[in-house]
Amino acid sequence: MRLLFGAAAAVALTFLALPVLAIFLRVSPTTLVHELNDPVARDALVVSLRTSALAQALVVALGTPTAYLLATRRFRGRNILLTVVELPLVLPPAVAGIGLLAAFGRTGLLSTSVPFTQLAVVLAIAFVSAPFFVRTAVASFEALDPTLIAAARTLGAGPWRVFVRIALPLAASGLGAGLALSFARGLGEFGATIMFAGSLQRVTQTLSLAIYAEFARNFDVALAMGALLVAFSFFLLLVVKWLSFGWTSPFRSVPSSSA
Amino acid sequence: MAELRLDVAVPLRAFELRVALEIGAETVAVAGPSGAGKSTLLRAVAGLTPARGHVRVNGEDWSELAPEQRSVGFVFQDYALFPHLNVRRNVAFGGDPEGMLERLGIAQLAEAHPRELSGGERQRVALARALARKPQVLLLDEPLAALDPHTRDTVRVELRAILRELRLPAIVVTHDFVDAAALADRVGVLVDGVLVQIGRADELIAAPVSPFVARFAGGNVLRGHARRANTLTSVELDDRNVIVSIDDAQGEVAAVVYPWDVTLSRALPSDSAQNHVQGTVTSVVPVANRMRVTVGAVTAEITAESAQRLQIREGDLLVASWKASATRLVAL
Repeated sequence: MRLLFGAAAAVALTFLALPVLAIFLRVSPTTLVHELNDPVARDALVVSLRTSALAQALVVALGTPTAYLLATRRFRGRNILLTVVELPLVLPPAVAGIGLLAAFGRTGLLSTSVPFTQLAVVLAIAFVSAPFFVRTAVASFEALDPTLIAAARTLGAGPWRVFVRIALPLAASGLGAGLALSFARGLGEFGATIMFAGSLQRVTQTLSLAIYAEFARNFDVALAMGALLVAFSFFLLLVVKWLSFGWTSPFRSVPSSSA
Repeated sequence: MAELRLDVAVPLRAFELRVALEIGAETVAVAGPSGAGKSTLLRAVAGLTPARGHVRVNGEDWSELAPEQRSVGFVFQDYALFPHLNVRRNVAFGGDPEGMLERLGIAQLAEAHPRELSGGERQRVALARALARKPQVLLLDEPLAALDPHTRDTVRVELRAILRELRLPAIVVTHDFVDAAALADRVGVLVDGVLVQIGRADELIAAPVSPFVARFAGGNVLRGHARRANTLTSVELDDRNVIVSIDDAQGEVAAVVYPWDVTLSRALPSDSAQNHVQGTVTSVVPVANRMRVTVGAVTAEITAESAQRLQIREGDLLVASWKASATRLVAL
């Protein structure tokens, strides 16, 4: 049995690591860095960073209060709202794209001129990555000791002061882990973005879209951008691990590995 | 004159907590079995649990106020110190920390985090934080329960001094009669959401209204059937032993005798003690400079010297004796 399971594990781990290794083994690191100077790659990097930063700012600004309410209030329909928040997790990206068009398209529900602008990229990224942040944030807030909240209130703190002075700092590591997960998911966003925002260089072409656009024309540039994304993702994963498990401070409130 | 008047009702799972109480500048201990609603009572006063009825403090109606608008100092059972704030910031969360840190002798701990503190130190920080708010009412939930026996004795003395000095209406929840008697001016016994008795500790000992109160106050409770005969009442216990009391009673009773009224001997003594019960020693436990010895259904507290003289061992056959006047009868 040990042999059989060991063999299965070896095959699985090789399979999972091989594509990532292939990116770095195919061309030398100096070539990779050089290829990143390609205008397509440079523009895509700028678009990716700008849209991701804006999208994550949006996710944190709206997702934190949402998560706090969902975690601390008990009301009818709470489970339905939690399901709504998680829906984008299981939605096929193409469905997310067509849904965003149906909502924000010129002929859509809200009839806006958002599609195929940089704002559309921001919205697509926020839509697909928000659940990663909100789920983790809800778990972090739920793990807060209710006695600490009660103690703060008997000490004269109203709901706002309780949130800022007690809930936020104690849930901070969980929120950080959620943000890193959300960021990683957003950087890789492809399906919803290409349908809702298109793939215009310098405007809506993110790194993920640029890899797809370039791989037939200039494989090495596509590879270089791939390597960059791998590095980003690896770094974000480390951040998640560090915030979830590595932080040995005893007042860390939750190991937020649920997402 | 500081005053807390409350008349509150909170539905609990199996019964309703219903307490009406007037507390002046004094400490009232609320004691009782777990699940009796002791902590719920404190939470209702603090506004942390919704309650029907009224909470009035110094003439002001608190009933509709949110917890942060009520002027309470609440010390939670596990102290609920904020783990991400140091001692000074914990205390400052309630009010000006400087005087309080000095007063409770924790100024040298100001920069420490709660995780670095001992149980007794945490208790002091929690108390300092509650007092920094300059509360009109003090609520303490099992303030000594989390402490080891040695620390507990020290902290009990300190806490008693602080409560005497503050002269605020204070409610201390405890399950320990010794703590209740030491800390409070009055002791209330809460059973199934109702205060079955409230009074000075010595009043509870002298005239417990129920076997529970008697047992809680440390007494032995022996059930039996009482029959009035001349000046004494004789009680045939469930184990067939017959004892006498000067209390008047008829029918089913609980006979209460306190351990410090019981003497032990090897053979039937010839002194004035009129009740004698023979039994086997099942436990011998030292308590401070005394020995708690359980003989059959009766626990006696005797001096260490007496225990030494009698050379008591578990399994020995001994006679427990006490006076008719030391036997309280509680009708059942």
